[in-house]
Amino acid sequence: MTNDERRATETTETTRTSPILSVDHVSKRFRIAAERYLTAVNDVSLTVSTGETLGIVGESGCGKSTLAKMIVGLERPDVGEILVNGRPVRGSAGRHRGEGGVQIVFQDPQGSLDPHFRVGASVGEPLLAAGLGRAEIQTRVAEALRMVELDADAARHYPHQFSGGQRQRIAIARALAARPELIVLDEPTSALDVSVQAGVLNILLDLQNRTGTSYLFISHDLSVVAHMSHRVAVIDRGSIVETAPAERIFSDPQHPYTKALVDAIPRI
Amino acid sequence: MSVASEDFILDTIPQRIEPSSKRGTRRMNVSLIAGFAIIGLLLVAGIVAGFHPPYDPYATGDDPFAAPSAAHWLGTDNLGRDFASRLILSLRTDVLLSLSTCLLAALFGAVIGLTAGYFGGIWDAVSMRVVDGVLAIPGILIALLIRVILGAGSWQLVLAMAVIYTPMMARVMRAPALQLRTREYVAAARIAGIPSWRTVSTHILFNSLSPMLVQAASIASNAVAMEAALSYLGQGIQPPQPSAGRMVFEYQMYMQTDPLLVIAPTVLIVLLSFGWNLIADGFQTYFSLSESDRL
Repeated sequence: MTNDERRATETTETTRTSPILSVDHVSKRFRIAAERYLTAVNDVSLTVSTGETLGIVGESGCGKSTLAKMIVGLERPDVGEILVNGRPVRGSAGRHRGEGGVQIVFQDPQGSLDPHFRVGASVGEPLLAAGLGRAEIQTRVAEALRMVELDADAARHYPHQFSGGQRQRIAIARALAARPELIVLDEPTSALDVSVQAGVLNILLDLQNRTGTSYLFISHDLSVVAHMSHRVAVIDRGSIVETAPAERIFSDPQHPYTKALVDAIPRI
Repeated sequence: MSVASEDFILDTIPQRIEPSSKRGTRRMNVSLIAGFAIIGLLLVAGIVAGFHPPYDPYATGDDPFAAPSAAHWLGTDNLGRDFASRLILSLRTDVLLSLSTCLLAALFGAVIGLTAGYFGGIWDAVSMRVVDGVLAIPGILIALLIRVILGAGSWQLVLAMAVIYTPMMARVMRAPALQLRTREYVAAARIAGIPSWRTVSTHILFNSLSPMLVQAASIASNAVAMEAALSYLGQGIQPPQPSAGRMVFEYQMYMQTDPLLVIAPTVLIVLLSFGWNLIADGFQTYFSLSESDRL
């Protein structure tokens, strides 16, 4: 079964388990000057079910990354509640004891890996925080690296010895090592060459098939989002303007902004 | 958290920052090698001779102002003490003083600077104003103040110089921490649940090592000069313990008749300071090369 077929059959399923992620009327604004505020996220509500990919699409500066930061707990929402598997996401410190929780893959693989840490140390970091023993960390690091089609030997090398695509796979392995219920993918392929984008995307799809992890896939590229996601939420200036199954976003966009986005996709 | 799991992270952290093979390693880092050679040699000479001096550096003899000879390599001083033995002993004092000052300043300065930059907020504001305040006071004044309060001696001198140089280190270390805290690998560590102290002592510290080592070496160089100045003023190392600055002070009145007594300790001060500066310079070259290899 190809990925597209799988997506098609899954979206037709009507019964879904309780949501892994529920974002309930969340708003966040930043003070940019005295008495002047920028509303980055405005009354956003969404849910992601087990094994589902929700795509978030919108142009630069629309609040996608702020939303991602709130979901992983790097920022605190001003209003509203974010629940991951029924538990609130608090502050920053970790309470995902080696299993479950949320992990994130950032846009720029150059900046998301510490240049002075060997790959094994970076990938094993969430497990170390979870209090796992050395042997178990090593096993799970090797396992996570294999899942992203890297040699277990990669653990002994430094990030600068890898290409951009490989580094992004290492970042995915770090997210996977903690066996999260949800991975937030914040523009995971935007910084990569087109030639390696497909490879990373396919690894992500394959991983979801095998592990049933939910994804929140954030991108400004509607065609990539539609390829990856079951459902797509379109964000414009901090608010969700439309949520629809991936195929319907293309065939039957409702909101004018979504129409504009679909029209903006170059066709050959 | 088990000890074993900490070992794992420690094992995978590089013990030194490796420049990759292409350019950096093949070009000799003359400054670094020469600097370490000078400081290392002086330290070893000081320590070895400290245990086995040619003569007892404190024993007075009946032959003052003797010219250099096979028996007394650099002659004797006004009290007939073997000048070479005294110089070697002062060498040990000076290297150890500058080394311990630079270690203390690096330790406290790094802790203050890194945490101020990383955590920001009130701690940053308060600690940096204190740093500004201490930097505004001339170092020699601080040293004299501490000497008045705690008395004169080696450890008081080290403490005073640590107080003088800690703010310099703190100021230098705050900048990289401020910059690094927004890095995504730091965010990833926070999401993973790594405690702040560990993030600061691994991610932030390891990526701030280059300014830290450069600054530490230049602090050591400054400390040599500061120690010499204080001892010259009679407020540093106390007699009869020899130190280079102290010797310049004691022997200056014999400068006309026996210039070697002043020239030799001066050369020693210059050599030590120069050695530390070479190390600072070498670190700078070393890290800029390894950094450019990384890109």
